[in-house]
Amino acid sequence: MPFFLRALANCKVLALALALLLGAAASAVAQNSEIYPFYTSDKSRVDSLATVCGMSIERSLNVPNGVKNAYRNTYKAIIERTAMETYGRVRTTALLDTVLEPFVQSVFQTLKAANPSLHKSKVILTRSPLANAYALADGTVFINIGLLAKLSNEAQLAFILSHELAHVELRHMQAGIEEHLDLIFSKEFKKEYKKVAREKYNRTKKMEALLERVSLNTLYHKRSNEMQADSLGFRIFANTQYNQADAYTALELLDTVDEPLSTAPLALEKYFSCEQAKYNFDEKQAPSESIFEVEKEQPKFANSDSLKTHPDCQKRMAYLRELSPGIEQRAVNSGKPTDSMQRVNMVSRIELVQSWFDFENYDFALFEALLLLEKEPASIYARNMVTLSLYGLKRLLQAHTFSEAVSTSAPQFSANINMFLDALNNLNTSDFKGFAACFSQKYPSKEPISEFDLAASYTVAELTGEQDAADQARLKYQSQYSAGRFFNLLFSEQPSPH
Amino acid sequence: MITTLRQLLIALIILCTSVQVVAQTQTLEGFANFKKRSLTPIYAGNEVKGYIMFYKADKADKRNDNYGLDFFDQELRKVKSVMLPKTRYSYQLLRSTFNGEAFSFYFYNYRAKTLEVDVFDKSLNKLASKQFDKLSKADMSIALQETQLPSDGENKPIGGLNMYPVPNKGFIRNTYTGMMKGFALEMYDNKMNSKWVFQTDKKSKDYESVVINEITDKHIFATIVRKPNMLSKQMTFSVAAFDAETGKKIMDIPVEKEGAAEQLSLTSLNYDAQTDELLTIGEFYKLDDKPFINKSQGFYIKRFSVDGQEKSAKFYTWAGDVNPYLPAAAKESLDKGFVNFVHRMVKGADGKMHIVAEQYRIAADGMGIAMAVLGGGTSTAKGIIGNMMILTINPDQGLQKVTYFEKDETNCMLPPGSGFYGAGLLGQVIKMTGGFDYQFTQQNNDHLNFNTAYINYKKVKKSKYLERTLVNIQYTGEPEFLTDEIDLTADKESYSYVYPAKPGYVLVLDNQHQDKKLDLKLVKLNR
Repeated sequence: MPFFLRALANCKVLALALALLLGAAASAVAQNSEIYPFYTSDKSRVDSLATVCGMSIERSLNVPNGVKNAYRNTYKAIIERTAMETYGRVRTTALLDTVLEPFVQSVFQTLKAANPSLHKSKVILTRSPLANAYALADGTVFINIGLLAKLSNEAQLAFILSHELAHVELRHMQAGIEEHLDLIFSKEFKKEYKKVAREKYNRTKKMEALLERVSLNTLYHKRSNEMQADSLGFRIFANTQYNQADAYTALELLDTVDEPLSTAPLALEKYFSCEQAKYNFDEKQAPSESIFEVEKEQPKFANSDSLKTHPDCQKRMAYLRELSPGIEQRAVNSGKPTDSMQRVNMVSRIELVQSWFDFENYDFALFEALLLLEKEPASIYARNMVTLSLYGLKRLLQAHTFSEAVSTSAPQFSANINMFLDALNNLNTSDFKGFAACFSQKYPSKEPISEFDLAASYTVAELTGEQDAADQARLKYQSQYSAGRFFNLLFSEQPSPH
Repeated sequence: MITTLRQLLIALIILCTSVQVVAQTQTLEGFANFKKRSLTPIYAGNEVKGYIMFYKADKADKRNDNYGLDFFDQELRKVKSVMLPKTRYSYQLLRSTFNGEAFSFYFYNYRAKTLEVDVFDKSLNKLASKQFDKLSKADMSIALQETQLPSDGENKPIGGLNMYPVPNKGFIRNTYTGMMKGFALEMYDNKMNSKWVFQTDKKSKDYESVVINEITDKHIFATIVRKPNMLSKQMTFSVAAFDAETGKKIMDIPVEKEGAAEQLSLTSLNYDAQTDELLTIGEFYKLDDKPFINKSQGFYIKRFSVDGQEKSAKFYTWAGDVNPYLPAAAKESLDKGFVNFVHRMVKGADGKMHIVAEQYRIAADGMGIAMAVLGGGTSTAKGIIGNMMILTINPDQGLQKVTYFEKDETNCMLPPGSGFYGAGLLGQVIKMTGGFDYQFTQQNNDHLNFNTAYINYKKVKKSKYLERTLVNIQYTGEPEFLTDEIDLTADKESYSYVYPAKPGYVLVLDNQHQDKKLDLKLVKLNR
């Protein structure tokens, strides 16, 4: 890497660290100022970004020459759908805030500056709560807020972005589509497909077996692509000043990234049970056990960690040990949280709560808000989101869409999430009054100042049946925030269908 | 059930990045000609523990089709699919039951005229199969009738051919002997080895039929109906008990005492484990009337010890005891000639009993008459379905209250010749043909709560579709019942059915027949 570029990269890292430290300092000075998620009713920036991304996908994917019509049409359908989905994804989830987005951009720019030969690319931070990152054919790298909230330092973010950039460089998406279509439109496959389609007997089973083979092939390629992306990604990452051992800590982190930020059981009684409305969570009916003793049917290609968002991390770590001998030992003292990243984590957690809430996943919004409240008992935002999520859950019950929108416990969730979901699924509409009364008694609200305060005070009054207070809060909200972010949830006739 | 290949391939390639919710829903594709009875709930005790979807899949070989059984747990998670190759165009599933250890599937092969049972363990591996040949004409006729009748979605044994679960031990099937002259009960273990057979006395002068009401570790409690000849409408009812180990009949006592001043029908028989007593409920009639044919005078509750001693009897007349509790609207309906059909009796852990009833009456059907005049084989009478009511009886057997649930009247078709039946018997006919608006009652295993579901159909001006509201009446131990309404109004693309579900929920199935798609969702009830 040329000296001046490395120097420039170093400058950027320094500038970023300085900016975040200043941010932290500003936050420390203004201790009483609450952090709220980013919101703007002006969608023009996001709209134009979405349009650019959609068009960019269309331009980046080209049907290979000399292919037959069916191949061409399927390829075109894939392009069309990917472009449409990308447009929609950016439009509904891109987070263009003033803290996190510049942070992600600067780490991305550091990588690009240290690797000037990389193809044209961009990064988009999304509100998606899933702990994931991915890249599309046009060079757009997406990183979700759900992942950002869990990273310990900038270096881990840089490695993850490097890995995604490697996918772009290696044209994995294009190659994946072509390999897949080559297989599907190969003479052998078509012959086999026609043979199965003409089968008189047991056609369904045979067709399923054939498609499973296609899936297996796709998955095999996806997994081998991950190794390739780790290899090139590590080289991209190594060109920066970030601690190389954090590539390893990033994979360690991804291996357990599906676990919540705290695995301790939530003390729900502490929040929602009080003298005037006692509720014993332990006494409530545990979910009834299945009468079936059938091992879950797994596709043949699945392994024990298939349910994870990031499978095969252990294998990838082993591969990284081969690429960089001694990295495991060096990683022991790496991966430590940095101060600047802690602020990023905190803001990300707030965006994460809001993201679950905005997606109408009030179960996980409440869970994350309670975790946030455990960590930051003085957080007005967390308190507000607890009552707003309770209100959202009650609305789902009233609209009979609760079981479509609220998860049940499942093997892929940690024990404390499953306990929490079991408790939620035991709730009755009539329980919410006591919950809101107890919670507001334990966390009394002050004079509502922000939109969140006002919305939360309305929901508490509604949940506890204080109609006059609810009417007052409603009128105040409607007059002050006619285009507010909670307008639909609070005042529409019914929640939107799931 | 495979979507088009191209759609599938595109879906395989496109990144899946949406937020995953482990919801209590299912979408099943490729289902044409869905019938309500294709999906049946599985019970353990009173509570729903899952569902079975029965369907015809593809061809298995030259002679056989693959019949599919898809198993879902109580949260609608798919557990497993099992394919059973069986003779083409020949099979209907009559009953599916679970006894705590094994599942049984009771099929009628209407070409070979045989009954077959397949038994699976909890891992859904087949334990046994058995075929029953040489069916009596009565069995064949009942089996055929059952395949043509709609199910109420509850999957609880009523009349007909049943396979009753014996907790953890096996199954009992009933058969009709002679030309419905008598009946037999046959007990099998989980591997379909015969354990015992009970058969009615061929020399008996009465025609006898049986419905098993409760099975405990020791006993099988049943209702036996007797009549002097096959066509007679003069029925007498007995409470019977059989030894579960040997099949020996150890009790058979008429529900009405000799020399009684009234005749009794028997609607419901329950074993009360708390008191080790049998609880019977039915209606009473004038001595010269016919039970189930004429209008009843009221209803009664009797308690028997398991050795057949009558412990108590309490009679409630419609006119003197029930009517004072009725609101004005209900009294009006009685003036219109409505009578009550008792769907279910539920006894709670608090000692209270709740009798779930629905009103109906018979009226001349103008269209039917016109068709009959033109030579059509249709009924000249129709059933009109009225309001729901729940009668609550205190533990001391006093009538505590009658809760009345007003709903819109609906009509139901009756089979030809129904005009000659009495009002009482027509209630049974309406029940069998699925004409009532009542859907089901489900009680928790702890007997603390229950809910009853019915659909209110309402004509909508300028629309050919009826507004359909599922009303759930819930008893939670509080003085008042709770009601919760779910809108099920269909459009031309879909039609909804409701089924019992795990406690506190109902299952709504939306059949989008044009897309051959079934959307299933558990709906949590508001309380």
